[in-house]
Amino acid sequence: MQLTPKRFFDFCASHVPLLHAIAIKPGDVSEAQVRQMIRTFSDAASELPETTWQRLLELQVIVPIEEGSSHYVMSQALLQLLNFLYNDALPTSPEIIQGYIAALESARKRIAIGVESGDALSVAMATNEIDHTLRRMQDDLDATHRAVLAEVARYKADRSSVSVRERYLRILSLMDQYVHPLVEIIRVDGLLESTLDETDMVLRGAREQGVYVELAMIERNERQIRVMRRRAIHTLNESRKELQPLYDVLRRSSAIAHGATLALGRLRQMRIEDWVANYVTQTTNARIEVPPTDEVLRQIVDDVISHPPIAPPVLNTTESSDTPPDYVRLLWLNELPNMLNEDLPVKDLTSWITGNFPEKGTADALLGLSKLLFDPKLDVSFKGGKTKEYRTRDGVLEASSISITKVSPSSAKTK
Amino acid sequence: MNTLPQLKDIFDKLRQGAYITHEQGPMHAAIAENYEGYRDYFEPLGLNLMRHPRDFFYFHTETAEGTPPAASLAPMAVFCFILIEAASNEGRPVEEYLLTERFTLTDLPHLKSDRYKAHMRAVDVDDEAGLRKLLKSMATKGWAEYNNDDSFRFLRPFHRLFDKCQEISEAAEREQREVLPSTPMIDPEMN
Repeated sequence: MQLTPKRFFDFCASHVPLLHAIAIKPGDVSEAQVRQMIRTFSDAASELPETTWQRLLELQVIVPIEEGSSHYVMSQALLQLLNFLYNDALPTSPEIIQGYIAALESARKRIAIGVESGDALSVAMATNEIDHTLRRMQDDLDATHRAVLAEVARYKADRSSVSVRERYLRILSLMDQYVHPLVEIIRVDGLLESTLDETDMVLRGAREQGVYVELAMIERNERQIRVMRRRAIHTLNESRKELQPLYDVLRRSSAIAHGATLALGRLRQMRIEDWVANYVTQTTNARIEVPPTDEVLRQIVDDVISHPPIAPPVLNTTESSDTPPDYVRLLWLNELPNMLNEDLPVKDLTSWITGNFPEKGTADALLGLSKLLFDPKLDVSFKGGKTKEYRTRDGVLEASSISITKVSPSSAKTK
Repeated sequence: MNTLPQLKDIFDKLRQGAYITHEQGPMHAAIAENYEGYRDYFEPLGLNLMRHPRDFFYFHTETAEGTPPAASLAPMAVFCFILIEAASNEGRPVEEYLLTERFTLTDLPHLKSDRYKAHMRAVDVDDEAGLRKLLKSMATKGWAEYNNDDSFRFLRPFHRLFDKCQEISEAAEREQREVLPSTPMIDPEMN
């Protein structure tokens, strides 16, 4: 049966869901899968599933991946049409665009050679090729833009459980693998611009030298070059504008999730104090000494004001008839060297003290002895020999003789 | 005589290490209206009044910089990190989700997986009562708004935790780049 556009489009019009289901299925589909889709998406009451299957093959909606295979793919032309109708597109890789630029360059060279040699046919063929290349290039750039828009829309509409990291990588992939390298190629001082300039020049040369008589084609190419210059960069900048906010948000989201996961991962590998020091935000620990509140200050002032007065201590300034014994002892000790001086030389100091001051107890006698022994003005010598006993008021001292013969020479000199 | 309105209430709130957000209506309005005035007032006391880009306020002291954060903050941090990770794994936009959703105690992921339970146990929280107590202390700090029906929502100061996570991630990536110098850098300034 002959394939006519009307039959083809009538069939397509009545089987849109089925065609879309086949189109979005990645890779090839088996006959069984197609028959299952027919049962799911077609109306069995108006057309038998077997009839639908046969029409798919007759109209070449699906074609076997190789002769005799039971696996099929949708025909490329229809797939493109559906992508166009569903505003679905695949981004164009920088390599493809570079391929177009290489094709333009090749055509440009052929035009230049053709103009030089007066070969109108090669100029015509190369000019035609430029036309196709420019159109395909613009279509692919538009497809990249549509792919970006579709991805952005999918991101905004799709709240399914795809991790932030995965979404981020998808956006990142679009941005870094497609949009950004394409901008590098298409920018004002990029590879495309110089190729377009040179192509423009050879086309002008072909027209001016009258090698190629079909001026309309040359003029169309020149127009297309102008459009390409304007639209290519605009299209890609628009894509970038669409992606940039998502890129930024997802980059931050991904970093936040990454940071949280890292911090949790290290929780059990570190001492909790170290973990806190590294992974806990600092500011909540801004400890501030609590100053006294107004209430506390008021209480203190009230306490001071309302505290019952206490009379200050009274000092006794009147002299008593009883001289304190410690003071009497101090006066005695201070006077002792002078008293001794009058009796020098003294052969037995202990005897001198106990004899002159029999009212003094043992403690006072020892204090007196110490005072005299360590007095720097007196020249003391220990005699040694047999110990003697010296009676005090309250005890007995046992000691060898200590003699003081004179005032020490050094102190005498200072006197 | 100082004419800054709400001064006592603002100081009392901030000195506890808490945040002033839109939820503290008049206080926030006063401080937002004359941020420089309050900042200059507190500065001689050694208290730096900070204004976060998300429009909330907190004290920052120089002495706090040298000292590690209190260990009592660890449970809060772990709680939040788990929630961030869980939200991310579910494909949710982390910041938007955590700051707009209202959560209930029983729906939290913290006690639902062994890994999360182990993390919580590491900071001495192992049951719902512990989570509840934690949430109440977060509410005191101004991180969250807690209701008696065990529901809660996070407040703007939670952005400080997001900032911290980003800082941790960036530090880790820097470390990685130092180890692998040939790894290409992502250019954030594409435009």
